[in-house]
Amino acid sequence: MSELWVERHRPRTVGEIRGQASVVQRLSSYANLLDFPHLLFAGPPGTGKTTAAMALTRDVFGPDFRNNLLEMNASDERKLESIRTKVKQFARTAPYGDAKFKIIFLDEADALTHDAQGALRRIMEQYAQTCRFILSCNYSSKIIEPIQSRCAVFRFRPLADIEVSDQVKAVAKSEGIGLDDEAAEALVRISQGDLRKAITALQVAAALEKNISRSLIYETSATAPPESLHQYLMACRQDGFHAARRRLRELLDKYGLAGTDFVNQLHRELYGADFLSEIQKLELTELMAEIDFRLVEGGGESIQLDALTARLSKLLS
Amino acid sequence: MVASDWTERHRPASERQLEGNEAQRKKIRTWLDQWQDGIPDKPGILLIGPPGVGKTTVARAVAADMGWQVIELNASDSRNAGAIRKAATHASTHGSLFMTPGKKPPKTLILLDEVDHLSGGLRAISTERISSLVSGENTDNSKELKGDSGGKAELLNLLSNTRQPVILACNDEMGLWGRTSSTWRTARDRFTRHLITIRFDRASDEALRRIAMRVIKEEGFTADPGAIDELVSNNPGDLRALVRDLQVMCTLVDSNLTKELVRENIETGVRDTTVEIFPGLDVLYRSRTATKAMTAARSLDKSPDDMVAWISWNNGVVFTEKEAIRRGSYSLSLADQLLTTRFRNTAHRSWYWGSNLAGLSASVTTSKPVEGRIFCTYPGFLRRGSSWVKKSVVNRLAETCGCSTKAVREELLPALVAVQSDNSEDFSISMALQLSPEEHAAISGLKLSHRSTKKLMENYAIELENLLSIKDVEEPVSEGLIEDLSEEENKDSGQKTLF
Repeated sequence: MSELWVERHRPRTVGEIRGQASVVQRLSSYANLLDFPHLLFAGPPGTGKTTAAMALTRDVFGPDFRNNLLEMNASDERKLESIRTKVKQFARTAPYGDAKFKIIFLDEADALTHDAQGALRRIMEQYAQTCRFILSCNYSSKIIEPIQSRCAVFRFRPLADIEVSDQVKAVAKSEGIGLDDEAAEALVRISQGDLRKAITALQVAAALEKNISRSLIYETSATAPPESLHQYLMACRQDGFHAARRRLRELLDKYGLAGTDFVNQLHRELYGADFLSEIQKLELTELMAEIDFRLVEGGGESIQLDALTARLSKLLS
Repeated sequence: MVASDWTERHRPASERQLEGNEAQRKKIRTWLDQWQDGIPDKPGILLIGPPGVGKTTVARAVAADMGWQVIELNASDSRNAGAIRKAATHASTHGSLFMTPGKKPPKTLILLDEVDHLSGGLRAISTERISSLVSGENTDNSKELKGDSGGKAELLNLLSNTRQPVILACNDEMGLWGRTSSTWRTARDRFTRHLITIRFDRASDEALRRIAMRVIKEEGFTADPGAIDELVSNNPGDLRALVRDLQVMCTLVDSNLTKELVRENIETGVRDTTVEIFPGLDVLYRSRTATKAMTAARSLDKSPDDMVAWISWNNGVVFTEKEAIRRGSYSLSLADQLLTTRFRNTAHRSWYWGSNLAGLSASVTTSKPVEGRIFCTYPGFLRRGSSWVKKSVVNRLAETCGCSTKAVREELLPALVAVQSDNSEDFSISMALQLSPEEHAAISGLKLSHRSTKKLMENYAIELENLLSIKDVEEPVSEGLIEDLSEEENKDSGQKTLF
């Protein structure tokens, strides 16, 4: 296992992309035309923005696509000055080989400063002949309006459960791994629409066993299965603080959870719990948010989680 | 090589091909006429307007019409004192180089685009430093100017000395004045002494429709009328975005653009300005469970900070129960507190809690379901410069009463608002101060968008006009006369060039 599966199974062409049907339909017409306007991809992580950009580039330029591609993500320096120098330099020179234009892919463009975005707008227009921009971002509202106006906007939605489970099954099959429906379902739960997360979790579990079970997925991905989180909530409600705290410790040990992981996973179960009233859900959300906040700020794990358990026991009983 | 990008290919080459903004373009033409007979008092124009209404286009078209060369500096160039000085020197020498004997030297238009992104301050850079930079004699790297240093100061210098036309363009003039509350007024006055300010409006739907039809025809496509309407309503006033979308849609069809196709594709491609936040909020406020509320909240596509702002503004508008507002406010303030960590830690955690708390506080906090129509509004504190009307009233009052604006703000204005708020029909005070209809509505505490306010403003405008026409002792010159005069002048100048 020398390669990340997310990379190995990344679709190479626009046609191979699964899900995002309406986006793919429009992108493949660009791929056929071998030309496209500036593009802005907006959507949550792991929904295929980078994949789509790379696939489109490859479709348009062929295997040597890297020659005419400038890829910049948040890890590169992207202040105002680097937009003015690096991007502009790349944009103004003629494309390599017989390509009609170059592509500049700015990943995580919402992390660009306001001034840097301002510098970008005119470059996008002046060098539209020789250069196409593809921008990707999580929240399109972080991209200034003049840039949105210069781009064709594509909105990527979180993948549906069925799309994630089809994909992980396909990956498992091609890697020769046994994956039953229950385990696939666990992967879907962990991923929350983020295919990258699902495939990474699958690879981690596959490193241990050839046939993957549901509990193996949960154990290797530092995620508590929903029923044990429910048991914890019920213990708070019925058995009181001591019993609940014991259950909490077991949970943390068994699945190797950090305090904040636990709080977040517990919260995901909260809205579905039918023994809580809606206003109670708000109260508990506030409680968990505050505990998580303190943990992130460096509060002691056992003290904060004990406080959570104590408050839960009081609120629920 | 023909531009493959439609927005470039269909950019009008002449001022006459432009659509919309008639009054504004008339101002520009007057300015151009002044340039025919020497250097006008105000050698520059400042174009202000939202993206995609044609500011850059109009500047370039004007230059083409007048036979001017263009030197352009935009936000993608370094615009420090040295760079601006270089452009200015270049412009003036350029004119003399290409001079034909016996003819006036051709002008060179200096176009500074996106001046609101000019990040340098107003502090001037020493003359020696600039000239050593311009002449290229500078060998000392430490003297190199970084970024936009001294850009604004040099811009002012350019405006006061230039013999060439200058056009500045921006979205938001406050970016040019600087946002420091103590100095922006002075900065504005120093600039506007040399500038004619022209505000561009968003193009009308009718103009957008005409342009869309023309572009489609020139590209050899046809379209259903419904398809055009759909595109226009998706891009309110933004010409460039409209043409951009047209190009996208046309790659999907062979010859005819149908309404169905447009509608199908618009949903994945909506820009932010058109994402309908209000219907989204409507669903959110009607949600009765946490799960439904969060589905609605996610569809809003607002970052958590914006969401907290929107919801805390609208909770007070939508909820009638005091307890619901109290409960919601508590959650929102907690959300806000958590969101402060986004600057120090990875943002995702606080984003998650922020959006969850905001979503819940707008839904499950109320004990009775929200019924009837919901009138959510745009958060006032997110709107920049929302109190511009008041600002102008304050200045007017300060002038009339001879006291400081601070005194007006703290003592006079509250009193005036209190008097007016129940007597919006009483125009006497506003008349005496000669306030504009908008200003009258503002001090009466009325919302400009309401139909009743508009009616009131109309009435007020009529009365104000009556008042002013009585006051005017001079007989107004009829428009016909002015036109006659200008025509004669034109004839004259035409004859001069003939001989």
